[in-house]
Amino acid sequence: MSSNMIMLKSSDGASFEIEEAAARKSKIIANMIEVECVDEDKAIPLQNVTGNILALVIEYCNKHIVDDDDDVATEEASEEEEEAKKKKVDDWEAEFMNSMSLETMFELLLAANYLNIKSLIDLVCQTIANNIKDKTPEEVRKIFSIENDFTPEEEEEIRKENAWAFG
Amino acid sequence: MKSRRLNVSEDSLTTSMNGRENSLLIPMDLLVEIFSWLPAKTIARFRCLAKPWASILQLPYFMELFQTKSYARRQLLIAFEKGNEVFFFSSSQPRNPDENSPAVVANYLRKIPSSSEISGPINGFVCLRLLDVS
Repeated sequence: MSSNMIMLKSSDGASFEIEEAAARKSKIIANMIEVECVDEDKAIPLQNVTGNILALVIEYCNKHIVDDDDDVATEEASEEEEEAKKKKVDDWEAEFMNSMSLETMFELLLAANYLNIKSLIDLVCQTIANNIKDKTPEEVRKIFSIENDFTPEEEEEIRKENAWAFG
Repeated sequence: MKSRRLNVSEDSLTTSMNGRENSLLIPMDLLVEIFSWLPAKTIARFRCLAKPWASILQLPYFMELFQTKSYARRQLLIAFEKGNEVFFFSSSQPRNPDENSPAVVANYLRKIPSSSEISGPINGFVCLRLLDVS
């Protein structure tokens, strides 16, 4: 299969070259390619994604094209091979998300949502969830700027209802 | 993403990152998505975040979302009785339970007196009734 290259341009003007197969991980870009509104010499402008985040998105997409291309081969692959491959991807994803700040994760999530890359949305959401799962409601309100609109009495009441979860 | 049917007004739901440097806006549907990956216990705790969350985190729609996720990463609940107590552990489910799989790591959860009543499981939940023997 020939590998067509596509140019993407971030909101801050950085240009990235990416294989078409990788870019197709994004539903939005895949649609653009389908309706042939992608000009080979022109970069696709992505107004909502900065260069440093787009670089992460491209890194993710590049890593995941191989898996999809292997679909034909997987029928013959043994279960162990399958499992080894899945573990390799899992390890890569863990490494990819590791040491990323919450701030960056939020930006990456918004970019994945804008570009409509379901598997990346899931990965980032799961990582953020993992990050906040042991936090108190006070800490989580701060992280997401959620305003506490309970009166002290109401809050005491709902805390009582869910007391088992505070143990 | 498709818009979700949530019966709370949109205004009160938009979460802004005002206190932060780059003032990011996380749309509600994405926050709901994030929360659906949390363990059940954390979700119960986060019902105390604010009024909209108290209702959203109890909607059947949210429960469904949560269940799909948790079903995909099934855990084993292991209980055994020793002396007057029952000990609970959880462990990830081995893929091929019939084969000789390597030892799994079990995380200790809690212990309860053996006089307690255990019912369930229903959709992955068990009900423990601690009977006061004192």
